[in-house]
Amino acid sequence: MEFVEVDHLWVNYGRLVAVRDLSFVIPEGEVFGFIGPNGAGKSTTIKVLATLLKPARGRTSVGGTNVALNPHAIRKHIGYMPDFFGVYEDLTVEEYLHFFAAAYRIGRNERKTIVGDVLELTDLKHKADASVEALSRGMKQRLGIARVLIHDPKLLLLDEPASGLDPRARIEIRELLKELKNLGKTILISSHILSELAELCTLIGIIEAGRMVAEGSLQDIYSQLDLKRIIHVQITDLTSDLMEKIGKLNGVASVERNVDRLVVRIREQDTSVEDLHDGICSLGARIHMFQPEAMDIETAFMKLTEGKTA
Amino acid sequence: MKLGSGFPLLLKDLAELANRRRTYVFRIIYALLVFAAFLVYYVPEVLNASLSPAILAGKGRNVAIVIFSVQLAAVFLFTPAIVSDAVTSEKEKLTLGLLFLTGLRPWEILLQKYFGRLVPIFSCLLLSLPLLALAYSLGGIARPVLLKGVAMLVLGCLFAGALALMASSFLMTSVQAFIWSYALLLAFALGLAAAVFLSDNLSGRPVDYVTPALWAAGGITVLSLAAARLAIVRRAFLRPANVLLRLFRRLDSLFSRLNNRFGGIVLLRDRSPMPEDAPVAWREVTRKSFGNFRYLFRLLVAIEVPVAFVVVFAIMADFHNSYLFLSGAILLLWAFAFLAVAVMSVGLFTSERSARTLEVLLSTPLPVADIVRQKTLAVRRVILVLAVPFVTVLAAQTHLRSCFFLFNASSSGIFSGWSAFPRFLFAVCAVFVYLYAVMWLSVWTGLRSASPARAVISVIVGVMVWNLLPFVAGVLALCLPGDPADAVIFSLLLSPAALVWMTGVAPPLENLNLPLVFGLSFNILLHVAAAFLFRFLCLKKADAYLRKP
Repeated sequence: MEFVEVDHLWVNYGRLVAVRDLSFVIPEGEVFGFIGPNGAGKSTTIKVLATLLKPARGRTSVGGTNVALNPHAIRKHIGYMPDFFGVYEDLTVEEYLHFFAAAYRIGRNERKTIVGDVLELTDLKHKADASVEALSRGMKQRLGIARVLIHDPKLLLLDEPASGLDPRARIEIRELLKELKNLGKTILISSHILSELAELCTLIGIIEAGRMVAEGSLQDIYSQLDLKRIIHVQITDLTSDLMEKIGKLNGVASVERNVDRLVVRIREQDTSVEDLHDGICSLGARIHMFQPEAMDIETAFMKLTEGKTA
Repeated sequence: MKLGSGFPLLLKDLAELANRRRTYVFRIIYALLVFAAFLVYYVPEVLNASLSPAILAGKGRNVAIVIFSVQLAAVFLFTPAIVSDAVTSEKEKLTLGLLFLTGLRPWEILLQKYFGRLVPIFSCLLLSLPLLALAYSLGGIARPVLLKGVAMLVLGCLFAGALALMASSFLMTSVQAFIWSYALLLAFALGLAAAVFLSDNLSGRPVDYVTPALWAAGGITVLSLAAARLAIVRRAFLRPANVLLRLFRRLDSLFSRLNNRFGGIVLLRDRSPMPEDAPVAWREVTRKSFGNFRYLFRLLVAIEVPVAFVVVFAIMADFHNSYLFLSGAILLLWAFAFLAVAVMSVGLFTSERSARTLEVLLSTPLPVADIVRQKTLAVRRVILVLAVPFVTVLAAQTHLRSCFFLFNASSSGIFSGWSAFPRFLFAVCAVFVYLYAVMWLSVWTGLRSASPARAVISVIVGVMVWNLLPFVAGVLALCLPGDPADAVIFSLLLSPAALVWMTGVAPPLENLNLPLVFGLSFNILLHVAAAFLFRFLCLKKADAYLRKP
């Protein structure tokens, strides 16, 4: 069932057209990664879904409810985290979450339990009484996610949730998002850290200059672009003859010899990584290392986009 | 050497100011003020001289003095607004540190900023040249008077600019610098008035205070620039802090310690520490300087105690001085209340915007009109607190007026028995109506503006224009055929300044008559309507203002 529908969306900032004729859908429970260069229209689209911007044309709906016509109804079902956001630094972590619990009209008796739960989930329980001002950037980001979860929304709109964070904080946020994915939330997430999106997202949309240039699962996008999976292989008794035989295996597109390894490119629609492993073994080779690369979303991104802005 | 290579910051600031609409708005208002003052003085003179134009001969000195006086007032009014964000804007954009990394030394940065802001003001001074030429052609004006006037204007610009630049170097935000620039200027004016008052009373004869004032202003200019130089580096990277709130919190902890030591009596218990059903209002009243009862009470004491001293002092003084003190107190209270309400109200939404918390708040299911209502709670409480010192001073003024009417049997009118009381009622009504109107106007401006400083300046300029327009209309009404007296009086009565003057400041020369009562009532009703209009716009249109792309 489609949970989020964006249908021929147009958004203008004065004379500037930020989003032009954008359409995509997100089924319930899926994680949709929104990729695009700066100024492509990602944040604008997310803001429209968050009821913060009115589109010039087109229809957007969440759970079958029209966003433009029923903004108040929509806000109860979405959790929005902007790319850059401030927090009320004059409050403590607990007060901050109680503030938003009251704003989301959560019953007074339930608030304490819910705030405790989201603090637990975001690993901020030990900071409950700390001033928001004193939190590190990574913790503020986690507090932002805690705030987004306070009313248990069905849809999370996360605009660059890991931007500007150090590697540890990024990994923590990524793990947190995986937990949210496991909780069955529908998530629309934009990010520049493409490898993280590849790990997390079930669907990807690549947007440039306000238009969608590719959409679907990663596998679909790779197939569309005819992208190959790269596998690094170290063979102890490598000969030119063996290398030639590997190149002739079913589904292998190319074999390249580097200083200490072979770089094998396969067409995944014809063969799998496991079949390649079996195939090399069947040739009598002794494998010292066999390392498939994560699917190369960066190559897809670079191939699909030209760095244009809206 | 090209100017740009030697003074890059000066040129950048001049180019920026030239691109701002605000610069031209200031210039137009400045020109309107000067030309309106000229018309107010000159048109009646011309009308008087219709029988014999020779009457105008030799009036040049008076015309020049009017032009210089109005220009000096305009310089003091506008210079702080233009200069006060010179350094704070760089701090807010985090570019001051980058300037320090260039070859520019702190003095160079400071002086280029200073003159970058003063050049447009000097250009405004040139606007009066045709009027001064006209004054010179009328005769009666000696060249030294003309030169002294020009020198006063230039020194006025340098002085007000230096004070504002010092505030800008010391403080972290443009709004703080803006308010403190005017506060310092006001402090100087009050100090000067006190010195004049004391020297007049001690010597028993009028003293020439212009020359000492000029020396004092010159000295303060130099000291302010030196202080700005000290502060620009030392205070470049401090974080903005709410000093008042910090002070209140220190007082809280001091009183708690004392309370624990001496018996633990609690007169007023804090309410639930967590928000209940109105979270925005909860934050406004628990986390801001003037929200909760304790802090409001402290504000009340801080204003009411000096006001009470003024009242006691005034009652003990002779009638003329009493009236002067109380009128001065009323004007000061108006200035303070207007500025406090305007700054607080403007900041309700601009602070959310600059702290980037607005989008998150707007994505909650709270209706925007509800957010606006909740946000104004603390300001509404402040207005109630501010009303108390107003009522104190106005009651004392009413008492003085009653005495005046009792001892002047010749006074007559419909309210002769309780003659001062209607003025008191009008004045108290004006306090609530005007302050609520200012609050809603400021909220409306804040909803539409991204910059707090720009919004505050817009409100001040808007209120000033609204106060002055009826006077300009009054002057224009003089040109109407027949007897324009009623039209002139009616025009003047539309101005809030006129009502404040008539009900709180003007000497009790005559009683209120019925037309005047109607005029004042119309003025109050007009401002009630204005307050409701801006309230309506804030509640109905806030969604559109805040969510516009």
